[in-house]
Amino acid sequence: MEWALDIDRRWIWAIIFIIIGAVIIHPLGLPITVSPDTQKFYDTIQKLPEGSIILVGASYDIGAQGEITPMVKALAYQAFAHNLRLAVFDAAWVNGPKLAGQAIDQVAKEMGKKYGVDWINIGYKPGSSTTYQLITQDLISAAKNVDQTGQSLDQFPIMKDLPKVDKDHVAAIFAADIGSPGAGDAWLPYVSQPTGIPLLVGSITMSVAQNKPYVASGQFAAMLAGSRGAAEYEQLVGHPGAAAAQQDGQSLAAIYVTLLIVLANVAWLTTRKKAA
Amino acid sequence: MDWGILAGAICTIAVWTYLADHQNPIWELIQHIYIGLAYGWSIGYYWHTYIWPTFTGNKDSLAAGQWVYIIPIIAGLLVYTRYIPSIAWVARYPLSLALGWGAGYVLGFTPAVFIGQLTNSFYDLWTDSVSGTINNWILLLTLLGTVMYFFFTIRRDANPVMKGGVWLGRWAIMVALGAAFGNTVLYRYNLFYARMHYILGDWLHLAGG
Amino acid sequence: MRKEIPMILTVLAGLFVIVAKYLFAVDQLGWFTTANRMYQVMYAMFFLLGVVSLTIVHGKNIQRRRSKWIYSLILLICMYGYGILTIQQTVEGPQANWIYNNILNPTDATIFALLAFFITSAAYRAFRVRTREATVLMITAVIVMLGVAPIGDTLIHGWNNVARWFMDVPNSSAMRGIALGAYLGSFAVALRILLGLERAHLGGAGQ
Repeated sequence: MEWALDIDRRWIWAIIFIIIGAVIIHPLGLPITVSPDTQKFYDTIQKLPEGSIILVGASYDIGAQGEITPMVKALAYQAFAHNLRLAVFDAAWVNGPKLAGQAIDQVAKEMGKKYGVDWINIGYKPGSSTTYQLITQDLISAAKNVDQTGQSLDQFPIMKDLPKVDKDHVAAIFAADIGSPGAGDAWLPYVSQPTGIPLLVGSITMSVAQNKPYVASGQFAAMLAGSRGAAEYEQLVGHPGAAAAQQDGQSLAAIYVTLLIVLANVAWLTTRKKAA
Repeated sequence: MDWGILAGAICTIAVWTYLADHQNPIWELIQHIYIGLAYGWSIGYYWHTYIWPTFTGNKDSLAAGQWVYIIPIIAGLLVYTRYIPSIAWVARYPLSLALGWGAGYVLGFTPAVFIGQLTNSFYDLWTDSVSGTINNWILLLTLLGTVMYFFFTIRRDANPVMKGGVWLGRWAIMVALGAAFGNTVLYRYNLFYARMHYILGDWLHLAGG
Repeated sequence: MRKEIPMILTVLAGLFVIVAKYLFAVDQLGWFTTANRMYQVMYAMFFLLGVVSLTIVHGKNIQRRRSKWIYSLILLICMYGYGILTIQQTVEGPQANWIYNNILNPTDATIFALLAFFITSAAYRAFRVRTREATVLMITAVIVMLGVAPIGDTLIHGWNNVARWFMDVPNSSAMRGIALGAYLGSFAVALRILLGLERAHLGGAGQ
């Protein structure tokens, strides 16, 4: 089986193109069961009083949009259907608010929600930990009173109810987490913990393992566990989308990588025996 | 024909050429275009959402009478002296301030998170369900084992407790790293799926379902 | 002057935050808020650091006609051209947005997605059952992969729950143990900075 140990890695890569391409053209549509974590995430938002504001902490970048944007979109569907309002903001990832804003804008137009009334994109503001802390004291000042396109924030009705991020003005925070700075080391210590606002987290699959202790301790009120969590959430919200489709790719990827590991080890063990 | 999607598809395929050859000119070109655009975009973004309003905004700006901001503006601009060798040391002033400020933030705010993790580690070791009890024992012992694994002030073979703890901790860490690796594989494939969907679905309209 | 004042600034800045946080939990005088605002403005002024560095590095490449200098020229044209365009139109302007959505975004996303290939070939080349620890790591990875993806549950009913147990119990406690160590490490580093024991930032430029 020595041949298996000498395969050109480009063959391994070519098969990735083939299997992922195949499931996009012919989706498997495997059933997805909803996990307790996702159900809790959904229920927490569902229980918020109508009209309350969710701060969308868009701590993500273009590289992670494949997993986070479907979460933001599903959140917008649930929030708008329940007459909640959304405010997008971040102080660590420059691209996050633009990407989240685009996703929410699409849903808002579909559901007849107005910018500045039902949602707003405050945008990215520099300063990292300081700015996260500053929004709990004075959001308008932290944002220099402008939204993502430079329009004055105080002209928008939603901002009258959002002078700062505290329990009186914000019902929940949704924070994306793609690593550091993210939900655990930015939103939790500087915003959620000092104010007591529940922190709902949308984690990329890669960070789920690291984030589990915070879910166990209740410091994260609930968490969407990567693309799988997003797919379950889309299902609960009633708008299956990009995350649901990704599950087929995940399934074949898991099988492919497992088979590769088995093949490589069988080949390695047999050649080792022969050599011995 | 959607020219935007076509442009996106060309960029996507250009990046994939890296897989065939790491030094090919298409990859080199797209890489440099990407870095240029990414920094260019951030200039415009900062400008409209923060820099310009700090000077001319109608609230909390120099134009609105916050003259005190002249101090941090000058302090911030001092960082660029690092590009002028004769006065490069001046850049240490704002950087030192930022470093101390950051350290203060770590000591000021993160202990609450740390304590939250600690207090949640007092497990109920005798619950109503057998599985709950077993799980809580596993949680406690593997946590203690992991923490002991990172003790560097006591010899690992100093006593049976240390030995056993480190042994258990090593296994627990292996499980955690395995879980992290499995998740990482899926994450990377999800991102790749999104790109393939862009090509096969958004561009070529071949996506089924 | 060149080292002492920066060190004093470091200590004072750190102590200010700690005192404000622990002794004046309610910021009645507004000092902490004001200091935060000022720090934010200072931090924002750093925004051109990357741009200046790139200009210097690639400017030199062009000036000295180093190999592949043409790429450096393209980089600078893209950076300044797009910078001017976004300043002129804002990032939501029609052309600025078109470039963002159809060039910058697909390129960035695809670069990050390339790692799927490398993690696969790395798993193939490096994952070997050489030791018992490596075997446990590999088996957990496989259980979790198949459990997180819906295929595991489709093949063997309940697989999903097995994977969840691994994530919620042994993984969770080991990750917590690692995190507790990391927190203690970060506190120690912060203390070293405030006590003036960490001086790496005082070296380098202008020695």
